Amino acid sequence: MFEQPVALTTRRLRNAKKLRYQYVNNLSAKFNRLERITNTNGLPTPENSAAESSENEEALQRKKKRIRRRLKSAAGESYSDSESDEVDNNHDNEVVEDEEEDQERKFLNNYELPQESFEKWQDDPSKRVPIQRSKISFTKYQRLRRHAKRKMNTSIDLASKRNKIYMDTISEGFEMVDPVDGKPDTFQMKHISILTTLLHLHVSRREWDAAYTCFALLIRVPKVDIRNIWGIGDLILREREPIKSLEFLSWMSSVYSSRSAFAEDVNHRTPPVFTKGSKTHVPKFATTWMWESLIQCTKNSLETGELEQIESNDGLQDLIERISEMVLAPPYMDASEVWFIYGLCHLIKADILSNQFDGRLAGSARDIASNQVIQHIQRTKSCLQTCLSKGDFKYPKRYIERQLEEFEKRLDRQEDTPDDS
Amino acid sequence: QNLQRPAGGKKIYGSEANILFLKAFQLILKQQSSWLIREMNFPTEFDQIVKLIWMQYLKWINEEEVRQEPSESNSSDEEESSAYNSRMALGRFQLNMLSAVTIMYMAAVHLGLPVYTSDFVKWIASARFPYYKAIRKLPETWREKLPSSHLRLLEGEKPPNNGQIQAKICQTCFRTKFLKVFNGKVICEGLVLKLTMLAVLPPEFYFFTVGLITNLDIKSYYNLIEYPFLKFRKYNLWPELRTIGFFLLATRWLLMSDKETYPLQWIQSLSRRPHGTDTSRDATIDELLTGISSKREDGNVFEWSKGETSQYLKWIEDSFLSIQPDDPKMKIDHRIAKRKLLKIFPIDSDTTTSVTINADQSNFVEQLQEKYLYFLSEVESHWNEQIVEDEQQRLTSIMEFEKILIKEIAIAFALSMEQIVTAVQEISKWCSARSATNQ
Amino acid sequence: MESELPRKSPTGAQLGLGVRSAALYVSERQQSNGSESKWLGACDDQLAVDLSKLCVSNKRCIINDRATRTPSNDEIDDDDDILSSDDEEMDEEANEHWREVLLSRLNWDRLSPVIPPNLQYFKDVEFDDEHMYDVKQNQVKSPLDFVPENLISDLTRSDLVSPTRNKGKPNAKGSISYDPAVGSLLITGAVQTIPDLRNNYNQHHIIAFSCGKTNSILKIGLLEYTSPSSLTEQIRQAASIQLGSTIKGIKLPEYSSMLDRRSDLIGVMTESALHVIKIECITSRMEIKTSVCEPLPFQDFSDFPFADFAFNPWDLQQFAVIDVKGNFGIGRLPKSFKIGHKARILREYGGSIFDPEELSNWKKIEWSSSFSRLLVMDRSKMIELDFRQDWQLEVIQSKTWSRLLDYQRLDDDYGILLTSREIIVISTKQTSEHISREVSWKHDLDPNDSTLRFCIRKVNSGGKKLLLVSIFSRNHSFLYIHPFLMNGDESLIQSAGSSTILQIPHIKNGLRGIWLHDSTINDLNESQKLDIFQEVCLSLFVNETDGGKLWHYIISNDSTKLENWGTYTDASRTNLSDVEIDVLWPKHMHHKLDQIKKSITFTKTDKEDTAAEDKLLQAYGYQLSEAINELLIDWNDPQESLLGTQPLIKDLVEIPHDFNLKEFGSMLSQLFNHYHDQALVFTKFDTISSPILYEKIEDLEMLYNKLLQCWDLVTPDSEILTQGVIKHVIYSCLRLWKPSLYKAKETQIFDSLSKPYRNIIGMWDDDDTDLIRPQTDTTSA
Ligand SMILES: [Mg+2]
Repeated sequence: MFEQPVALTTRRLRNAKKLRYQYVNNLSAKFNRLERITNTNGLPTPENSAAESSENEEALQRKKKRIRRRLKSAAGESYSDSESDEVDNNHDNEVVEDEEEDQERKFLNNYELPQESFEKWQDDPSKRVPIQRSKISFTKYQRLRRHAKRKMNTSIDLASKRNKIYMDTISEGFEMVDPVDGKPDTFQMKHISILTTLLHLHVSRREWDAAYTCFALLIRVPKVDIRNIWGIGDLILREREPIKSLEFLSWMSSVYSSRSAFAEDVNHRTPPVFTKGSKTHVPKFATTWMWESLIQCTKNSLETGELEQIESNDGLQDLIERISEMVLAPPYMDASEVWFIYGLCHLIKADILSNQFDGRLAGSARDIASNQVIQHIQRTKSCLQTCLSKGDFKYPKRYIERQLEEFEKRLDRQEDTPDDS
Repeated sequence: QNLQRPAGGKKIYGSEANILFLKAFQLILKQQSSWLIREMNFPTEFDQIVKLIWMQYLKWINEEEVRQEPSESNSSDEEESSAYNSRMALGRFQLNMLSAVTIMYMAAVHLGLPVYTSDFVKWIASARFPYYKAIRKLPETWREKLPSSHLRLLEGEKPPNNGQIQAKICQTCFRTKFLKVFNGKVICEGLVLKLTMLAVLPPEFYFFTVGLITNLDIKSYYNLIEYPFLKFRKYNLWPELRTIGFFLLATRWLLMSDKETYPLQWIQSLSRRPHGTDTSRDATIDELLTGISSKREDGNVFEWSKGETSQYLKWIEDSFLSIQPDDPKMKIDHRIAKRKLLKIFPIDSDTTTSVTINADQSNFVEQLQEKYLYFLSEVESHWNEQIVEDEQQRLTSIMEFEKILIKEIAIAFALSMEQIVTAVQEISKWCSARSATNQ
Repeated sequence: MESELPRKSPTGAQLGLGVRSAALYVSERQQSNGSESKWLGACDDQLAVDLSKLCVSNKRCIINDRATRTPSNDEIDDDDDILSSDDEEMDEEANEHWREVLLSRLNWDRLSPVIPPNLQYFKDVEFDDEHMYDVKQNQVKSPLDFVPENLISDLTRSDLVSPTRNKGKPNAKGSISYDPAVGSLLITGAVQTIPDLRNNYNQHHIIAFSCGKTNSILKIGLLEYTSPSSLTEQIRQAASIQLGSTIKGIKLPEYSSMLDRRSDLIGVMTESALHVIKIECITSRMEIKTSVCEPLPFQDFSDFPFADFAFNPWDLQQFAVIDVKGNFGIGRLPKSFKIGHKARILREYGGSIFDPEELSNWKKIEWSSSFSRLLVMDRSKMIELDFRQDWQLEVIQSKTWSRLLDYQRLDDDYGILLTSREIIVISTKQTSEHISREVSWKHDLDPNDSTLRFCIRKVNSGGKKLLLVSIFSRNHSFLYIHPFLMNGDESLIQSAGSSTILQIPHIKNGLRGIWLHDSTINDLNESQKLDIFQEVCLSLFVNETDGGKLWHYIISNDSTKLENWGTYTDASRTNLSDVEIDVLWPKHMHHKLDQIKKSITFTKTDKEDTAAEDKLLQAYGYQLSEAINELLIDWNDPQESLLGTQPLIKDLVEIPHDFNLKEFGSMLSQLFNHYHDQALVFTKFDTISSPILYEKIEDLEMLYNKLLQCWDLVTPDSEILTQGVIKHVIYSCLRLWKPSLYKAKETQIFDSLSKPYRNIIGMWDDDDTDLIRPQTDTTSA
């Protein structure tokens, strides 16, 4: 019932996939040909040509990039990325591996593989086109189907019985009840699946000890990819021993962060959104680590009381230093969210320091203390400025500005103000 | 295109690979038989019988090879075609882990041991018997040399299901000329006893079943069946399924005929036996594991009790993880990282061992007693419920119980429910015909 | 102010188990009330209601028993698959491999027969097997049940595509397909009829569902009940409308909050047409009076059947339709539903999202942020379009890592999208340029399960609104419920805590449709209802995948509520009748059974004196050794077959009844020892006990005691019977054999093998300890 944290597949599943992509590719090739014929007769619809040309251009550029990336990755830069995608039951990949991939790759080459989310989201009004008016007719659709099927007669004939049923089903527009693209039905997969289900079940019942055991056992099964379930592991640790949760997240970040570019054609099996990072994508476990650290720091400072020594905020200072190093290089350098977190770190620091500000101080001691606060306020502002300059982040600006003003006001406190604590 | 691919050239192909495959298969056979001798107290001659049956199989392969040879002289590309033919030959062997089990089973039948497919199903499911990941037991040099298509046959990835063992036994019997050379009588007494215990029924059901078989069937034992293909569909002729069929009918008829000894409450308690009304008995780890390997879904995980869950997790820790092969492709820095990860998540022995686990084999009798006790308490707690006996309700309850039994037997013997139902129908017909002529 | 959480665009907050996202620091808060969190994020773990306490009632009641039995496909799986071709299942992997080899070969060296130039051929005659184009006018008149049973059951499944059509074997798992264009066949909701509006009456709650043997009858019932039994009674009185074609979807229009009223229409999509039904009035005697608009056949719109439709929330007469290939259009309902008045398609606003790469029939159409904006989607994209301004934009493209599975409009401001990976709350606020992602939750459900769908329920909870998104599947009977939280003015939406998984009892074959409904509507007063009591109590209506039945459950976090909510029929028992067994007595069987019973009782005769027994045993031992000696002479000649080389001891000399087990055992042991020198081997007792009781027991008495402990509990004659069983089983297993005979046979077979095979066999007796390197277990580090 749940997604399984392994990337195993079988020949039958791969063949099913291959058949599907082959069929789909045939259909769309024929469709494009038919469209072109009608277009040369009549006027080209603006939508069509616009979409096509821009798409082609994009595809071309992407292809160039990909070649470059491939060269890079061949030089051995990305170790964590290239391996798990090819995990397979095979002990040696003898024949036609590349051929199999072909159909899927041919399909995917037309599309961008997004890193930020599972789907590509578009909200740019300039990409609007007129409504596609021409409807598809039965005769035309039937032509496409016949053609596509005829072109792959042999592959269908040679397909296994289950795959034949699968092809019949999907080409009728129906779907399979049983997830055909699912995982193999082996002894090992059964137990991995049961462990996974137990894990989710105990998490949903908030039974953390049992959930922990499931998780600890699951990650000891070879081929289970921690990147698929790190969030659950983190949640369990957070409930049981929060300090370890940070240790785990930083382990994730150190092992699975990558500074190389996202190699689209190698990675088309694992969506990177929650599982990996690249030169242009900060992995989710890295940002989660930052948030978690920050939240724990504020929790600590709340628990230990505002007015204790600065030592208790060392954690926050450490965090600020670590982030300041991280933002020197990609992908953190270009990530608005990281800059926002960075900004909040300074903001919190300013909050704490300004609260601790002793109104009775005078002279240079007072100047030093107030300067410290001012400095953090300045840093907050500049971080948030950088964050905004990336153009893809929104936050309640006025609200934060008001907070900063509030902190600054605290510095005006005079010695005669009675201390209420 | 894959950087991690191990350096090529080690693999061997063609007939050479096939010979090595047969050697590997033989080694697994040896390990299985020595496991049975060691763990299950099989007689030492068992090994000898396994060897004999295996030799008969090789003889069949040998003869097949001779038969195929003349037809393939007109090939142009010799090397290509020989590689191709050796692949086809491998396909014709039809040897996989299931074949190995059938050879074990047949050897046990020959020596008349009270061992049945349900035993093998259980041993396979609990990963104690060398089946799943059996290639792990092969010498590493062999594993490196064998092509993946060969190795895959020795993986034992999927637990047997839907009567696959029975069908495969027919085929292996055919190929080894089993009935001509060996003793193929399956003795039903032991099986009936096992069924009686599985169904948690009193001993009179044992006698009634045996009585039904001796009175109505032609023989009181059944021979294994020889059949060249895996399509054998007369399920009621499979020796074990025939015995199961008689057992189910005997149970049904006995319950139907004797209202005094088996009142309605008693029958209903039988049905409640696996999942009691309020406090259900925990399933044993073997029952859990057999259930798991028979099902596609893991739905009933949601109904597991705490005890069952911790039993299962303990099994994963002790048995399942220990048979997991190391990933040879893993790089050294990845290994170090992984070790660090496991340090963050140590296995908490407190949570797993706090519950005492009775996965130990020696506890079978105690577990059995517990089951009978549980059944008894069910009967007693419902004994005073005054129900008006109504014939229809009684029949429904008997059928309900039979259905539960069929389901349990299907899981235990890796049969499908449909196969059992078909067999029962056929045998029922047979019985009525026989009892009519016997008048 | 607070509503504007920090977020990345366009992704919004991407949450999942253990995954955080941007949050806002609240500095002043701690001064006013220290307990409250210092952070305001997209995720709020503090829930007023503890959802992990949610339970489904174990009892349920059936609403409508269609009483059509369909064969189960539980357990019988791909039985045929395996047995019909050699080693199909086990060697499937291998077969795939051969297929590939073949394929590659075919491509390599094409088969090119020489075609004679004068070849005459007929043009290939193709029969039209286009099922999509079949019009299913499959109404079965109720009194005439002469239609074959299997046809009816086939039709009843309506959206389960019969596998026989796919040339597959019936019931084979992995070969069941369904029509994804089939939507909810069961809905509940509020309606307000014209008389209600005029008289300023409250809304009525109704339930509408499809039924009938071909699923072509629509039933509409009132859902204002006080107990389950009254519910059943009400449903029985439901108005029923024959639509003459299998129903594929039912919808109630949800009007914009600006209009502040409920609809009086029900839209029904069938295989062949779109029907709109108006509820004219609901009488004081709870009768529902309806009128039906003339159906709009799909041929009036395009060449393909409809896949989905939607009503315009801002315009009571406008609706949108989309067909299975993506052609969509806008239509207008007639002002009155009198005969001759028909809905019509507005030609000027049509279009198509047809995509040759998209195979699935699943399509969806729904209104977006304003009266002229639509969301049109298929499995791999969502397009927003404005039909008045004539533009479209592909807002979501999901060609790679996820598929769109379901979408529902929540209100004017939000919609919820289910993909194979996430639940995404989408903002459709009129103020924004396009729809946008607000919060998403990674649900971790099987991404390959395309049957996932969901239903939403809004529950008031402590001044806030709790949004329960319940995901269900045809593959299992679990509800995955994830809560979202909306603040009072609905300006801020957060994910609330983690999800809950509920198992729906008694259901085995998955869920085709579910619908949640507030079950407390009878004592309603919407606003104050659940504010005070932190409790959730919902009615769950379930449409099983196979059974064709409708079930009613209660879901609540208050377990006492579950038990006390009226009397419930526990219908679980009826569900067991999925395997049919005939229960008739065979002819003459009674007589036969009595015979057998009598033959059993003889074992129940009582004990003898020990002296006579000893004598008997001695005599037996003597006879036995004599028989064995004879056998040994026979065995001096080589044996062609091993058939008779391990005879049963009981076959050599018949064993007299009524031995003391212990005595018998020791007598045999002596005998065994005696023949040990002559290289004879006997079956040992522990060899028998091990496979039966999984214990090494050498003493027969012990074996007896162990079994007796079990049977003593359940039978009065346990001692006699147990002894009988033990003897019976032991006798049937005791054998003797001579290993040297096996050796001889071995040599004989060995000689018949050719050399490579001899070499293999030669390795059998090699010591393989040095062959196998000890396994290093690095896994359990
Ligand atoms: Mg691409």
